[in-house]
Amino acid sequence: MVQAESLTKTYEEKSVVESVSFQVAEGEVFVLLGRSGCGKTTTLKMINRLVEPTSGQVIINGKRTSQQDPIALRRNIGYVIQENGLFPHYTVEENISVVPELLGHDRDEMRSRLPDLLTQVGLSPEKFIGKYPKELSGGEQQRVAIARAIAARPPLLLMDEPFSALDPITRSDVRTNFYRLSKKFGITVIMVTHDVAEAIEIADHICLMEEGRILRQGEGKDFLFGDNNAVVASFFDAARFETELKVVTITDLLSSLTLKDEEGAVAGEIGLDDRLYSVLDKFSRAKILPLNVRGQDGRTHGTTTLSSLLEAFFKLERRRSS
Amino acid sequence: MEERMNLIELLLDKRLEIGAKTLEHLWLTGISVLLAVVIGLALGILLSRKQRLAAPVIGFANVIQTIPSIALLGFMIPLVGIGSTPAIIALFLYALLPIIRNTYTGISDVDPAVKEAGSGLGMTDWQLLRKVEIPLALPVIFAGIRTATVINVGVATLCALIAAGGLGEFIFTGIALNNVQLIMLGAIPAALLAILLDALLGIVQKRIREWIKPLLILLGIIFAAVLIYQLLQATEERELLAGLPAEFMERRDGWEGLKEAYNLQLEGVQMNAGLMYDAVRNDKVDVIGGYSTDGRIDAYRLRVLEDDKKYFPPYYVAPLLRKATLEKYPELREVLNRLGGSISDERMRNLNYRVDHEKKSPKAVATEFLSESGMKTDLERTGKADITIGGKNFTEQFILAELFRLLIENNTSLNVELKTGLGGTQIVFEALLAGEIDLYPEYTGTGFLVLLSPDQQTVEDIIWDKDAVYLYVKENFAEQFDLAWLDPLGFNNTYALMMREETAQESGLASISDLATYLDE
Repeated sequence: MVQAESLTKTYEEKSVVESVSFQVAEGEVFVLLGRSGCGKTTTLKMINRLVEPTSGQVIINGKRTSQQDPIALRRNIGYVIQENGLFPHYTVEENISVVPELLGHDRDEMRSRLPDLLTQVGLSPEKFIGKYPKELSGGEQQRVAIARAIAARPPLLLMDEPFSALDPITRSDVRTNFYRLSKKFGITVIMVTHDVAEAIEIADHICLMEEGRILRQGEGKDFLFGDNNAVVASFFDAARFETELKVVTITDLLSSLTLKDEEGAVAGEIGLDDRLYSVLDKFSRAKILPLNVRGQDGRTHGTTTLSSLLEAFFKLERRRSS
Repeated sequence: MEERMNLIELLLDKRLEIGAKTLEHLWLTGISVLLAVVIGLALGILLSRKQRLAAPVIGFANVIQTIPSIALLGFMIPLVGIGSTPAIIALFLYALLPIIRNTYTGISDVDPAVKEAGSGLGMTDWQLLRKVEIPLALPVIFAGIRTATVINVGVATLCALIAAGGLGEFIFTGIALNNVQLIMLGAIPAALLAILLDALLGIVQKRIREWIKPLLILLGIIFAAVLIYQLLQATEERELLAGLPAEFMERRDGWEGLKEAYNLQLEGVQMNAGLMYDAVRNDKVDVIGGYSTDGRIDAYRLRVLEDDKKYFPPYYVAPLLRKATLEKYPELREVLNRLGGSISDERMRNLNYRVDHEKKSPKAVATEFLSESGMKTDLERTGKADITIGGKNFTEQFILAELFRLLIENNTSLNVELKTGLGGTQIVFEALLAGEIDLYPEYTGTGFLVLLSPDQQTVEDIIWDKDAVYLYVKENFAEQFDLAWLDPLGFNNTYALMMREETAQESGLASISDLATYLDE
C-alpha cells in the first residue's frame, strides 16, 4: 500500500535520512525503530509531506505523493504525535470533528458517529464529549488524539511515538486498545518508536534505523533469533530477555519440549499461539500444577508445566547462540 | 473643602467643553489604535511567517517607541503639519510596537505540537492561523492592544501641543497658568477614559468569537468614512491659521481680547510654544503668538506685526529682589542698575539668537555682552553663596540670570549661586517670597496682571502706559510683598503676532491692523 523509494533528506549538506526504502502492506502495523536522531521521524514526515524529501519518492496506492496536493493528502492520512497536539481551545467533540469538517463531511453524521468512536478508543462518550483537553489525563488525551486521527476513516495512519509520554500501565492499556482497533478496521499503520519491546509487541514488520540508514528490516522474531550483525544485536541486547519472552510462542518451544499426558488437577489451559511472556504472566501462581496445551482445532495436545516451558526456552536460546 | 467645591463647580461649568474635548481625545486615541491594530496584526502575523524579518521590524518599532513623544510630534510638523493628522500618525506609531510584538510573540509561543498536529491533519496555513494560532494567541494579542490603548490615552494629551485638541488642552493651559483645577479637568477624564477603554476591550476579548464579524464590518465602515473625510479635507484649501501657546489663549491680555480689539477674523489653535515656531517656519500655520524678543524671530526669518493699537501691555524686564537682601547688601542696587536701559529689543533678540540658533551657552553670551559693553567679566567667584539668583525656564531668563551673576561677582565681593530653569511665574515668585532665592528678572506686565491682578478699572486705566505700570508694580510690590523693582533693562518682551517674512511681504502686511483688513477681504 505504501512504498518508500530511496528517500533522502539533507539539511544544509548534512544528511538526516539516506536512501531509505521500504514497503508497507495493507492492514499491517509497520514500525520505524531506532534511537532518537536516527532519522525515523523525518522519514515518517516525508510520507505525509510535512517534510519534503531531497530525493526519492513515496507512492501510496500506486500514486506518487509528490504529484498530489499536500493538504488533500494529509486529510486522508491520520496523524498522531507524542505530545498529542490536541487543540486546547476545542472540546473533545470539536477536536475529533476537525478532519471531517476540513473534508466537508456532514456534521450531523459525524456527530452521530462520535459516541461510537469514543467508546472504541475506550472513553465513555457522556463523560468526555464536552470536556477540554486540559481536563483529561495524559492517557485520555492520547485516546482522544487517536480518535481524532481516525475520525474520517483514513486508510493510513502515521504515528510518532504515540505512547512514549504515557506511564507504563496506561501505555500498555492504550497500546492494546489501539492495536485491537487498528486490526478491527484494517487500518494500515506506520509508527515511529524507540521502544524495542513495544516494536516487538505490536509490529508486523520492523524497520530498524541508525544514522539515517536502514540497518535491517523484518519481522520481530527475525531480529531476536535470526542472523544479526553486531550493531543490530546490540540494539536488542538491553531488553533482550523480556522481548524474547514476548516473541516466542508455545509452538516455537515444541521442538525442545516433550508434552506429557497427566491426569488430574490442572491450573488452566494455554494455546499454541500464546506468547511465553503472557503465559508466565498469567500463570505465575500455578507453581508446579500442569497446564493443558490446546491446539487451534480445540484438541488437547498434552500437558506441561511452567518450569518445563522455561527449560525449553533456554534450550532454544542455547541452540541459537551456539 | 473650598477647593473641592470649586473643582466641582468648575466641572459643572465646563461640562460641555469637557465632553467635546473627551470626544476629541477618544477620536485621536480610537482611530490611531484601530489603525495600529490593523497594521500591527498584519505585521505580527507576517513576522510569525517570516521569522527572519522579526528582529529588524521589532527593532525598528522599538526605536520609534524610545523617541520622546514631544520630539516625535516635532518631527511630524515639517512632514504633515499640525492638527489631528500628525497626532494620529504619532499615536499610531506608538501603538504599533505593543501590538506587533504581542501578535508575533503570541503566535510564536503557540505549542509547536499543536501546530504540527494542525498541519499534520491537513489544515492549510490560513486555516491553522485562523482556527488555531490566532485563537490561542488571542489573550496575548489583546494584552498588546490594551497596553497600546492605555498608553495612547496618555500620549494623546500631548497632542494638544500641536493643535490636535483633546483633554491635553486643559492640562497644558492649567500648567501654563499654574491652575491645578484646570489640570484636573483634563487629567481626570483622561484617566477615566483609559480605565473605561481597557475594561471595554476586556469585554470584547471575552466575546470575540461571537463579535468578530460585526466588529470587522464596523471597522470597515469606520475606515471608509475616515478615508473619505480625510480626502475631502485634503482637497479643501486651508484658510489662514494661527498657532498659539496655551497661556496666551487664556490670559486676560491674550487671544480673545486681541481678536476683539482688532476685529480679527482668524482661527486660532492651541500649540506648544516651542513647536509653534517650527510650525510657522514650515508653513503649517501662518501666524503665531510669540514673544517679541525671541531669538527664533531672526533665525527663522519671521516678521513681527506692529501692535498699532497698542493692545499688548508692556512687559519691561527688571530685577525683582527682596528688600531684606537689598538692605543687607545695598551695593546691589547701584551695580544692577548699571544695566538699566542698556538692552534694546533688537539687542535682546540677538542675545537670544546666539543661544537658540548659534547654540552658545547662556553664560558665554552674557560674558560676550558685558565685554561688548566694556564691563568687567574676568572674575568668577567660588565659595559659599551670599545671594541666590533665580529664573524661569526659557532662554532669555537663563541669559539674564547669568548677566546678573557676572555683574555682581565682578563688581562686589559677593558670591552668587544660580537657581535657574524654574517652571513658571508662580514657582519663581513663591521661591522669592520664601527667601529661597534673593532676586530674579521679572516682567512688569506679568507682575501687574498675574501677580497683583488689580481690578478691571485700574487695568484699563494704566495698562498701555509702560511707565505707569512700572510705577504701579514698584509701589504695590513694596507694600504688599516687601519686594523691590530695580531699573528696567530697556527692552520690552511682550506678546507679538508674527508671520513668515515672505508671506508678510507678499501680502504687504506690517501691522496687526493690516492683517485684520487683509482677512476681512
